Amino acid sequence: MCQSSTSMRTLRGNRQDYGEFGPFFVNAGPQPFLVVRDPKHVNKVSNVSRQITPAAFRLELFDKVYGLPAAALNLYAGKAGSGADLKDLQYAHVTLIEKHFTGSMLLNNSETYISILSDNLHNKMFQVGSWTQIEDTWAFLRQVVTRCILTSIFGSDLFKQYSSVMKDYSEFSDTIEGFVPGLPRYWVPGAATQVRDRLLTGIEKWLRANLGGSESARIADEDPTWDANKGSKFFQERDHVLSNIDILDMKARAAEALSIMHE
Amino acid sequence: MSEFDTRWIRKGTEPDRYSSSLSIMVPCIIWSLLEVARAPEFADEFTTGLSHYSPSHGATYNIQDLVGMPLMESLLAETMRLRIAAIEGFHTQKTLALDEHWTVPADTHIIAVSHDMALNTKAWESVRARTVEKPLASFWPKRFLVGEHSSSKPGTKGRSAGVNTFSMAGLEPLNMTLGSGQPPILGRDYLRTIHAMTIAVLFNEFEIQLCDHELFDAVLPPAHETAFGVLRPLEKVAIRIKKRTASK
Repeated sequence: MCQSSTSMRTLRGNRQDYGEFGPFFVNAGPQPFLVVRDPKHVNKVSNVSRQITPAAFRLELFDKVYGLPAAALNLYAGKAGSGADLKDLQYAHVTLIEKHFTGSMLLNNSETYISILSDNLHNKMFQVGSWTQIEDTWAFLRQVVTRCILTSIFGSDLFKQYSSVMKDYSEFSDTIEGFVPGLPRYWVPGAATQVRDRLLTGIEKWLRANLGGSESARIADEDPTWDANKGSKFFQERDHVLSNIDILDMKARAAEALSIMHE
Repeated sequence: MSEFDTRWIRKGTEPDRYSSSLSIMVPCIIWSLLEVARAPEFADEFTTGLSHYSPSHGATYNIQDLVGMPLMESLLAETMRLRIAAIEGFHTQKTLALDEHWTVPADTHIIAVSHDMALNTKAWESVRARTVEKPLASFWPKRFLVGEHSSSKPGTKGRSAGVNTFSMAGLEPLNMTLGSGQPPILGRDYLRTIHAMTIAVLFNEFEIQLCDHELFDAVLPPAHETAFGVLRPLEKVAIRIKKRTASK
């Protein structure tokens, strides 16, 4: 974060110097970049320049942020693996998300989340007749909402197998704030990499305990939307498809799970 | 472009843009809650709206109607506009003329900051004058509502509900955290749904008030100063909460 704050201070300084909406260069650091501020300029740039593709963006995230192993990165970059592997990857990354997070499946997943959230809040012992004061609303809601979203996707056993998952995830999320893929001047700080590795180890432990190594079960239509041990049907199905790709080991599957966790 | 690249293209998004929307959902939900709790009149109107689609009027929450409530959609759009500061990155291969005055050299890294667009009064006014009836530096949850008459215009993406309709028509490029860029990994519908349902459960099952309105105004992050990142209140903000009914 310190790197980006430094450059953003520079950016603010420059803003004052360059009139209202003119573009300006930020020259601090090894790689200068241009800031465009006029909506017409932004539209022009976004319609014409296509170099930082979402594919490159995602690849950089998987590499620097989620810690995907090198062999798997080659597959993701289209430099390794069979056509069938790439097809499976496409299915896991795109088709399954459309299947589970639109239409009636999205409604089923939302109902799971609503019931987890409502139970969580009603277990907090808030009263009917008298007020309870929450001093730090940000910290409280961040904890509650993050935990309920993670439970709705990964199930509740994750928190038993890996008791510090919430603490580690919050620390990870805070340390990589400000990382911007595609801009060479930003990088992921060492502290983020350390906590990321703890997360991968913890997630891997849970995966081994509940999703049976590489032989996880096939998912049937009649299976429930959510399982306390294995997580949502979406996550089970996704992990199953990924487990069929030989290049993806347990660490790669854990990195994939982390990418879902961090959204 | 290899076949691989198409994997990331989702419906309704352009493949050549992204915003660094890392974990925006949770901050977004917290800001929406604080902004509703902060405005008692709006909170009453909003809670009454929610109650039509909540368990007291039927067996379960009516998720689709809650997500599509014009007030809910406008609240989310306003939170994304003012309380999320995103950045988009680009890179030029060839020389690019921005207009008659400015030309960008080849091989240049370019960034655009969402707040530059989100706070540009002239640009918003020229698309829809009503959006700047209240200053863009302030939070106005009804900014994206339009009167019923304009929902009959072809191409308007609004949903009608009584007097007001939610519409982003023409405003997407100015609200880049919401309208363009790379959606979160589980998709925009998921974000809209989780945002709406969290807010609905909180305000339908609980009564929530901000403890100190003046303090809240004093700890808001100044909109014009932060370039990007997760915006939070500058100090702790306290709320009080109680259950609406004894059930559960």
